[in-house]
Amino acid sequence: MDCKDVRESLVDYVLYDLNLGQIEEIGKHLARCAECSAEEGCIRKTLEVMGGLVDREPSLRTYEALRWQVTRPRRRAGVSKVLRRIWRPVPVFATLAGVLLMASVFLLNMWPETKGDIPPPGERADSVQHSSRDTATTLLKPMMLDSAARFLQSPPVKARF
Amino acid sequence: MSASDEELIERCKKGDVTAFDRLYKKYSAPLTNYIFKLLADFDRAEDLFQETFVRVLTKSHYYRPRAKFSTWVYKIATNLCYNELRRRRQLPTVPLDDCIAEGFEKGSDIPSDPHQCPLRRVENRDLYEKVLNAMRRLPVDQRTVFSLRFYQELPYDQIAEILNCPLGTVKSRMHNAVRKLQNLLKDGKPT
Repeated sequence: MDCKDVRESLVDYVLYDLNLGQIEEIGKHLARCAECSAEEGCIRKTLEVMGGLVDREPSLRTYEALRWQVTRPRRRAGVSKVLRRIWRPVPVFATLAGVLLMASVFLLNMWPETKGDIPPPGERADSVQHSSRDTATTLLKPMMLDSAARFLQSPPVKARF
Repeated sequence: MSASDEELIERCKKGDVTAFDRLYKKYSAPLTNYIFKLLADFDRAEDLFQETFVRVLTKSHYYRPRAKFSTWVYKIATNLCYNELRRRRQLPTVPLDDCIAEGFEKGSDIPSDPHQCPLRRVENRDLYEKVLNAMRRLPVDQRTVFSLRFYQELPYDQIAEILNCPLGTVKSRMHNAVRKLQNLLKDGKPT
């Protein structure tokens, strides 16, 4: 071990952070090298001075504050939490309903025109010449448009999450 | 058989005061003093120790047992200290002399023993102030490694895990810290 290696390990040597073999080797080197020995003394002195920073105990206030954190009664899930859990999916369902409504209105308009039902025997074909589209339009369309219009005119729902 | 720290934390969460007392006894002084050495402010160190403890209690499900529990605790404390130091750098600072002029007692952080002779007390206070100043002047990464190795007596590999850096880096930081402290303490006063 030369002086460079020894000086690099001096801190660990002073802190007993080396194995026995290394400690012995450095010890031998220090016995014959005055410069390294002086360096070791200097490090030892520095660490001795730094050891003057004595440990302090935290105050009673800290203990009590933390103890309170541990022993304080835990809040249970109250009514508001339950309501919030129920209320959460409502806007999702409302949006889905709206999308379905729009889709059905759109599909009704796009319904391919088909010929009506086969007239019962003895009746004239032109008397029952409605298409299924006409039936759907006459029965469903006003109803759906009406509900769609009502839905769009209704005030927006304010939901809290 | 003594319960592990993880078990004590779980019991603490259920309100077990005995478990809390054991954990507090084990970690309070080392952690507070570690934080104090990084921040050089004991009151703030106590606050951050409290915050660390609360985080350990509330975030214990994030702990993975591949590392030692104390490593995880020190990691939390170190991160909180770094945040605090970063925050301080962003805030305007008041020079110490101004504080003294405004009536703050110099070295009010220093513990004093009322039974000690006054001369000895002054000597101790001077030494304490000198050491604290030297610590303040160390770069933060060196200060952290020095505190963990010298004051907390943690092994290098655990320090490397806490700071998430290679073992060689930790050793060189320790080496540089001691060299710098040697210079700072030369002639009895930090330069």
